[in-house]
Amino acid sequence: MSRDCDLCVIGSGAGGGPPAYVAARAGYSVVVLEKGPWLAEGDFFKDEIACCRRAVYQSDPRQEPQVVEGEREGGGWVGRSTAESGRSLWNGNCVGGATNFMSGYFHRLKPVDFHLLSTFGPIAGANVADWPISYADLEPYYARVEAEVGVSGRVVPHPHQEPRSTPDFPYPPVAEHGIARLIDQACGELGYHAIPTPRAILPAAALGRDGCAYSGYCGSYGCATGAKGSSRAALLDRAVATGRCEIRPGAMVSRLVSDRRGRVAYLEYLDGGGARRRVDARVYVIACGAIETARLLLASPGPRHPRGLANGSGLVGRNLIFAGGGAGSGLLAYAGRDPREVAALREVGPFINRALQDWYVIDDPAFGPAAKGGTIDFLHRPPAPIARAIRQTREGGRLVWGGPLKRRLEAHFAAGAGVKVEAYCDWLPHADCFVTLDPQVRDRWGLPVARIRAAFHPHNLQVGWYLAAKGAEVLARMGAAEVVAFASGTPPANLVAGTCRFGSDPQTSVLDRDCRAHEVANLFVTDGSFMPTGGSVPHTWTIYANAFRVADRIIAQLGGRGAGATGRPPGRQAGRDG
Amino acid sequence: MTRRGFLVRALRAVIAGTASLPALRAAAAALATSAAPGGGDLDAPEWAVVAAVLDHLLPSEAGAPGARDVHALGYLRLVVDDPKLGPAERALVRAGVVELEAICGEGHGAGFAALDEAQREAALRRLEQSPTGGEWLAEMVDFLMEALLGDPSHGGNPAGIGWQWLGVTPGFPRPPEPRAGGAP
Repeated sequence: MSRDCDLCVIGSGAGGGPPAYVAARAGYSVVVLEKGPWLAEGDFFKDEIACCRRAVYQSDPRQEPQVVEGEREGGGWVGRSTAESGRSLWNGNCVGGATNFMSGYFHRLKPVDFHLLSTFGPIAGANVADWPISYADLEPYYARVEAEVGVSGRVVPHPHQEPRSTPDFPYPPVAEHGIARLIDQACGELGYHAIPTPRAILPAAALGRDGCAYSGYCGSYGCATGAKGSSRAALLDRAVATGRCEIRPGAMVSRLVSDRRGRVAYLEYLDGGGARRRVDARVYVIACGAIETARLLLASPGPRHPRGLANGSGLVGRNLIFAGGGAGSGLLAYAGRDPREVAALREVGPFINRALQDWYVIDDPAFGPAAKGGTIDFLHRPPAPIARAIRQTREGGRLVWGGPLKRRLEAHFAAGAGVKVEAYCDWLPHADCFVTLDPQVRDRWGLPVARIRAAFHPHNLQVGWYLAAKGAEVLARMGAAEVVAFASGTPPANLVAGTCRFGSDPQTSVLDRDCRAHEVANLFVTDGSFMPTGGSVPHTWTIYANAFRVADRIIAQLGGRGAGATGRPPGRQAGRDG
Repeated sequence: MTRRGFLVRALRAVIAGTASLPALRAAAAALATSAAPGGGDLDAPEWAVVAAVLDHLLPSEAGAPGARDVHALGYLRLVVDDPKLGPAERALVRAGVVELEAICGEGHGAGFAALDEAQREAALRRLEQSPTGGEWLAEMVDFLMEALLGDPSHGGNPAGIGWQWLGVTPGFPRPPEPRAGGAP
């Protein structure tokens, strides 16, 4: 057999890690192709200039632009390259993808999320669909992620607690900041159910990784201990350790080539030196993130796929979703508190880790008929002092500088501890939120780039406002000053899904219930692209869990555990394309 | 004539008083977006103007560090040498200097460095009114905050002086110091 490997996985984030890990452990040979570099714990520092001001872990939009459409006054849409706007939708560009830089707020979906359409009925202008699987189908895999990726937390009964097959999390919660107690107290007084936020962070060494070092610089920063459950630290490092998984960083896949039966015959990629190479595998997984997965499929037409691979339905790229919601903040002022309280508020390292899911379904006549609501997370303000200082330099459209700026900085940094609220609701899929190939703009490899229209449905804002206001109510009850709350229609670049919806009908979905392309028997998609709706939580845990579920189907297709596995390492040299 | 050659001539014409301020702004804006390698390199007098501007935007005071104390100029020079920002950034920095000097020449018949405190403030506030000038000043302020609170390995915030002033606890591990002769 001339194949290079049993399984080729394109992309190494939350969607790519599980199939590579499961297949390698089951005895199959795996090649993982990742566009970005292979960084490890020793490469990550708490450096705001690198991570956040220069975005060194993201693709450079000048080299790899996307085109984002905005609504024109008076109607119509106009596209603008992110090379000019700088407003990129890129995420972590390295082995492990964006999971390296996540905060790791891990909430499961709940049973209701799997059938929103049949529970709440249609919403005008939105394209909501039920999932072809139920919560019970995914539950064992949520439990598996808890154990294998490492999710820490504590189960506390509350009205919207989802069913669990295990009584509690396998890892106890990470250390909690004093602000958590203030939230518990305020919520108790208000009759709300504050719950510990589960985190994809190990509190102590386990799974061959170190525990959290409590540096206080987590979200947006790479983890220097391995405590954060990135796809790289938690799964790919262990896949490589089997000797059957090879990771090729710097590999930009340009297209999948399909045969006359419609199956993927091989793929082409450009290596770090720009040389064109091929991989020929038995089964292929695409997991490049919802936007880039759609782009790759659309850029891979074939004899049976004239509109792009697996795109007979015309739905590849459609039903793009993000996480909708709102946000808020308040300030726990130091003034008027005794020094011990101030010292507790100033503590850097432990996490706030509190969430509310009391309004996961909103049953409030003031809001309207029963509707899907969401999750409220309480957190520290981002560990980004430069960004905070820069905000102090702007006021009323003018710059503040000189002595007045310095007094303002002193007052801001000495004022108190900030508490942030993030509200997550469903981003409704609709006709003006999708990905296509841009007809003109090309990236540094000469490949057509993704063109993204990312308008929001107004219902998002209604729910976002409702949830953000509840969060603000808690902040006010805590005695916070400067409490603000708002809903946002801005698409968050780090929470992207949809574009290859799964379902049972090939006319209305791209993937089948196993996330295999309806029209391509040896192609699976395991990132967030499969999601018809995203749940009212960050997507990551669900992407991980579903990718583990699909990995079991991939193993079955390859011949089952052990059976038929070549057991040999992947072919070391992919042939140069003529 | 190359695009860059045209822009440089346009800027010189403005400096020589033979072109209008709006023309300068157009030229400066164009230069700021040009990415010609090596384009827009600043000479020593131009860097001196930048230093004076940074001092005005974040003055040194007893117990509260200013631009000089956080090595803002050195930081900025390293930034514009960063290949990831490089030529476009240098061009932007220089375009702002040229625009500011034109304003000072028009209003006071002298360069920014020769003005007193009140005149400097007035000149910068006037610069802020122009779209390109306002953008330039915003960049300078952003760079100052980076020099104030960024990791010392990038060339600013020596020994964490900015962190100490504002009570900021940095994370760890911190990035290693840059290798001698290399950019951070």
